[in-house]
Amino acid sequence: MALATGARPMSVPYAWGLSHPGMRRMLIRLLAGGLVVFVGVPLLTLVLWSFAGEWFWPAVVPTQFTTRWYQAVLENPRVIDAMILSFTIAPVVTLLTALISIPAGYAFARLNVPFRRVLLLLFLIPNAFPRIGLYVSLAVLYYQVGLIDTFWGVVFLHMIGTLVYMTWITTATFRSINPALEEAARDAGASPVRAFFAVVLPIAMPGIIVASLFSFLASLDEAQGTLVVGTPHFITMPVLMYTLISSFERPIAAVFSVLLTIPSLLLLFAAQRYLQSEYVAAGLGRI
Amino acid sequence: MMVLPSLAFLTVFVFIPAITAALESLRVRARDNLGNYSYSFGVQNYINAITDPVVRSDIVFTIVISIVCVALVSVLSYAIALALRFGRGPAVRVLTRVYIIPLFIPSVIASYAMITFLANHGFVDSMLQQLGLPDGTFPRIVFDWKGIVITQVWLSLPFMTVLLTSVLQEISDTLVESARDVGATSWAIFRQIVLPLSLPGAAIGVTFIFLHVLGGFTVPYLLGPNAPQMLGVSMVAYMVNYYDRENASTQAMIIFLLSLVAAVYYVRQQFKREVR
Amino acid sequence: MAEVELRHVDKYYGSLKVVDDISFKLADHEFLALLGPSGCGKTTTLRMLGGFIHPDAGEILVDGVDITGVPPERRPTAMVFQNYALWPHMTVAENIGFGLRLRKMARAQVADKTAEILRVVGLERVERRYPAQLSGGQQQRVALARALVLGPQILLLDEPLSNLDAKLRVRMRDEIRRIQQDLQITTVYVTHDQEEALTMADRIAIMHQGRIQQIGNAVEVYERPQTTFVADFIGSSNFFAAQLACSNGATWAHVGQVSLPVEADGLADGTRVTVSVRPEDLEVVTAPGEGTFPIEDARLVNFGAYKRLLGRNSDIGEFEVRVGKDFVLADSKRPLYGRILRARAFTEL
Repeated sequence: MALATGARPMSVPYAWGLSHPGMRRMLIRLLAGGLVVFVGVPLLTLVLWSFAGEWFWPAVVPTQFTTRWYQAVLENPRVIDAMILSFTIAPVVTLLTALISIPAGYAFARLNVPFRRVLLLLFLIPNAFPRIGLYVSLAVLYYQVGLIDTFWGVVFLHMIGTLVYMTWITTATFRSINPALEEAARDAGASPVRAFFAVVLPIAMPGIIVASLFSFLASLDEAQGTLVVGTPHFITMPVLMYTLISSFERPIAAVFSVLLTIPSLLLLFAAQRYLQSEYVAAGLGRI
Repeated sequence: MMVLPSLAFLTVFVFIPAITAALESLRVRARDNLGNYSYSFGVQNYINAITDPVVRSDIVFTIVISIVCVALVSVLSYAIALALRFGRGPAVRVLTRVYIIPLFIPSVIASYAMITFLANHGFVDSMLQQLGLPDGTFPRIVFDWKGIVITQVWLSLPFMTVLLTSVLQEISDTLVESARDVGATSWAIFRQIVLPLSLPGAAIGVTFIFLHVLGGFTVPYLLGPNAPQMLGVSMVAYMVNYYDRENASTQAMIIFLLSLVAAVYYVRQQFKREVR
Repeated sequence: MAEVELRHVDKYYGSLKVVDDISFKLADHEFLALLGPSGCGKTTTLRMLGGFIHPDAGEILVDGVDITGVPPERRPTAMVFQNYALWPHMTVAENIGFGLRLRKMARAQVADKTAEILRVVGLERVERRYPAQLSGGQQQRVALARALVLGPQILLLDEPLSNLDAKLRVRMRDEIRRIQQDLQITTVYVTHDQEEALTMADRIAIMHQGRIQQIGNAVEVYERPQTTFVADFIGSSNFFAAQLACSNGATWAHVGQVSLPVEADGLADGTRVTVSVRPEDLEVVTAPGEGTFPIEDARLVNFGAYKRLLGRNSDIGEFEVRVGKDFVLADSKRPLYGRILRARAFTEL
């Protein structure tokens, strides 16, 4: 398509619309501003509600601010129990998922091609079946084997979601590691196991940490299945949210939302380092 | 072997329930005049689902909403990803920080935030009120399909944007520069170079978000109308309220079959890329 | 420091036989180059020596001991990988010391050996750096140091210089050879670059499509190639078809008007052969005479240190002659003639 003589075509229109750099900058600014509003303001509303002493229609912000809602919530034993449960279940889920999916991911990454495709398909099917449908059927199963309303019942249900996702990411991470690095370790005298722990795992660590982070958050976030399978004794924070939303106690629900979001946002800031798009995208976009 | 534990887990916790659901959907319940139930094998449940106007409208509703969500997320994510890839300046830095936030907000909370934000007499309504909008003219967004769409788009944005960002990363600057060199406008560059090259990767994101919205429960449960309902919500209602396992399973299978179409497409795309 | 022997080694990838009945024996301290184009099976052979690939048939022996089934971590071999395979999360010192620490060597001793081997490969003061902070040439030396520090009996190198620029390559070539001779290690070196093979190795094994075409030292493979592939791959050659005539102990090749004496290694009278003539074994004369043939369409190509004259003959076809850098074509009307000074004949056609 380049012109043979290298001369610029005389008929280039004066750059307008998207081509004009000034216009582009303005559009990007609009987009950024719009996104900040779209993403930020709804969350801001919740924060405002959590501090709302008096807030009646049609005031845009509360007319009085208070911290009594926080006090009420943090003293409520149901809330404390739900928080403890959520933060107990999430690490257990993450750990178990990691223990199962890291070897599996490594096997997938180094396995023969034809076998791998079949297993890939097998891992994708859980994603295709609607989660809630799965949970409902699972609940029936649980009932028959006595796993309903138990700690481990909830843990295993959480693991359904995290396992597929984490295996996917660990496979991609291990695949991106040059096999020659392992061979060099074995050449230097390391057994296959030693080579894995000395070379492969350290290099894969950022990807695994990202995946674990998301598993942790996914477990904290899990509401629909836990609702079906964990009631009445195992109420996690998101499940408690369901009842709070319908009970119309706006400030209480708002306080709860803020509390539930804090660990996520903390993890977001702590993991800024690992959340470069290469790592995240490596897991999300490739396999 | 190293894959055994994960396979075992999946078999027990996914395949068995899924197969159970499939079998239950094929269990047809008949009632005779004396009120006795009898069960037989057949596809009657599916036929009922398609012919029953309520269920049928639910099916259509679910599919349409999913498509709308995917379309909107794609447009918005493309805009953000393009800005991140080709833009410069402080606005781009803001975008980088902000778009990832919804990923860290649990869906229950996001739904609730949207309720307070978009409800009648909610935040936006009160803002517009202050600007002079008469009371009562604010459209119904919460407990309406619009609420579902807005919230799902909000939640799916980071995933799609990250995916597109990594896909766009692979398009080298020289490709764009050479197009500019022969006089192409930005729109032409997008349409003829960026879009075709990014489409295979984007299709993967589209597939996943479609599956996710299609089978979703939390968002439509909290924000959706009573009728028509998304299948995820109605399925739970059938199970929990009516104790109708057969019809609940049928609806789950319908979602599954719809999802399979998208999933098969994704898998074939993957194989094509691997062959390449 | 060991003898290496391969006996009838085969390797298949699916139905493709990538290594076909490879056998050779390396003496102690010997430097063998596996030379050939990409896809000829040389790297596969090397990796089988290293233990990373298992042969489908045949044996691999070190000092007479069969090590075919021995995994890489227990073999007396050390490999320098093509892309160096330096562990990015470890410093240079940790990379080199890895194998030593696996053998439970004391820290102080590890440090000493590391410093010493770095001196041997010509690197100083890089112990604390990470591979990403080193240049290509430095990384290459670290990879070499890492392999050597363990005191292996056999050193394996997989095209170690292919990622370096031309001048660096020449320098590293001499260095590697010098180190190998100082340390007297039996070495197998894979390359597709004939210059490397010719300048570094004691013996060269030329491989093509999984088989060894010829093993010999530089003089043997250059002066007495045994197949047309070798004649073409090492140096360059002109080829044309002819027929042999033997009489009185002398062997001649005839095609059309052209006749010339050839080295034919015992081929029979009347055999159809391919004759190979190196460009430097032809001369250009301005008048016809004994053994000359006319050159048509003569044109010169300048290579700086020498020139090549490209021409054509109705019997021989297209060919090239190496001429001096001051050679010029006189006016185009003047006819030119060529004479072949030395040629070999092969039965492949």
